[in-house]
Amino acid sequence: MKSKKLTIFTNAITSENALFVSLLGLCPALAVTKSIESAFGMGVLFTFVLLGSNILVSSLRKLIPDAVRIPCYIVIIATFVTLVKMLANAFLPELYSSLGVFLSLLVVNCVILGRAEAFASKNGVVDSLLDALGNGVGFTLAIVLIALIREGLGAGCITFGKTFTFIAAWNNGKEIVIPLLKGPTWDYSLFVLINPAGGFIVLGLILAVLAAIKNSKENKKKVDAKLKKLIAQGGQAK
Amino acid sequence: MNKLQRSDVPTILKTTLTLTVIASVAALLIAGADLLTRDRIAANTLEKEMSILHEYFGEPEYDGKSFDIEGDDHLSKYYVVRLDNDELSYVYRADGRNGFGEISLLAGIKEDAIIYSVRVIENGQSYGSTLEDNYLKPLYESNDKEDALNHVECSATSGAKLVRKLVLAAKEHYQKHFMEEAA
Repeated sequence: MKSKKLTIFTNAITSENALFVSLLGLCPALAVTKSIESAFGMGVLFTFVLLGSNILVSSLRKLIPDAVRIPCYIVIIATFVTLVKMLANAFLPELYSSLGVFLSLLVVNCVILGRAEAFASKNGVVDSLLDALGNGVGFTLAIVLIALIREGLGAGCITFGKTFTFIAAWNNGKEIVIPLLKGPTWDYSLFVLINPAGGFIVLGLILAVLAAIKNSKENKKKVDAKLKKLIAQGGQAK
Repeated sequence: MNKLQRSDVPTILKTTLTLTVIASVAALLIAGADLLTRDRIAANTLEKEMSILHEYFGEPEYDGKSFDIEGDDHLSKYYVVRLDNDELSYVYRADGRNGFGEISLLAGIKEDAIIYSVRVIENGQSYGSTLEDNYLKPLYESNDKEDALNHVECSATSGAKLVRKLVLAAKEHYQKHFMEEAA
């Protein structure tokens, strides 16, 4: 039972990752990954909305009539998105400004609605909570990875403290800038990666690398299986 | 088409009650969050507005006090700002909305109804970044703001037209209330 619950959590991060495996939630993944801070902020808020909606949908799954379940899910998700928007506007105004309309678009995010329909409406509260947490963490890691590449190679440097101003406040009011391809007197940054097309390019490259890793693992398994068979046949012949 | 049976009534009542409860709980949660965050959001908005005012327009007179504007669709208030050459100007807060979202801006009008500065405070347009890159940045950098306002064909034309409408509303108010009074 313990391992089943852990499997729900870990699968959502790895083998059933919403962005890299199911290719869901592409809109925020391409729109807010120009900077790591925006991507991380979006991931945290996304996780909060997903947690709230999954828990509530799972709690009410026996009460919500089947014929009107989708509108009910939308109302529940929209409520949490509205709460998150208000809280972000009040306590993280720079993050709220940087996310813009893409925070509101979480209402129709495929991952959130999909998990409500496919998992939360059919499973208990604890399992739904683990599923939401796993999907949230998996999505956050995925978009932060895309942002790391886009900002690092596209802008040429990684900046902390622009969106989360408490980081700059901790650093005597200065943003923390880590130069990678751009410095005070040199600039080798790949500007195309900051453009919308660059988002698609980076996502495509990450998917290609993941597919290559998966294929090599599967090939290795096949080769190992064949070798074992040959060794077994050779042993029998002797 | 099936006729409504007496046996369907409990199901219909249950569905209606469930939906009503969900909507009511949602409304209560949102109302609670609004109560919790309203003052903080208002303070943040004012802080951002004052920061933009100081940076792009000048030092406000009367200790930064604003003067409310009644009965206008877009203009809510104005500040009196002293420019570097000791000239007084009026900086208007304008808010508007179109099918793509909201825009809030500050527009500075000085003597002879010249638009000397425009800054967007909140850009809630769907094509916000396009509007920013293709219209607002050239507007900020232009020396002739009135001419730059008219270059609305920018792939975010609807937003650009809204910005122009808000700035011209500010200019019209200045002409009506401050130029005529002076005359």
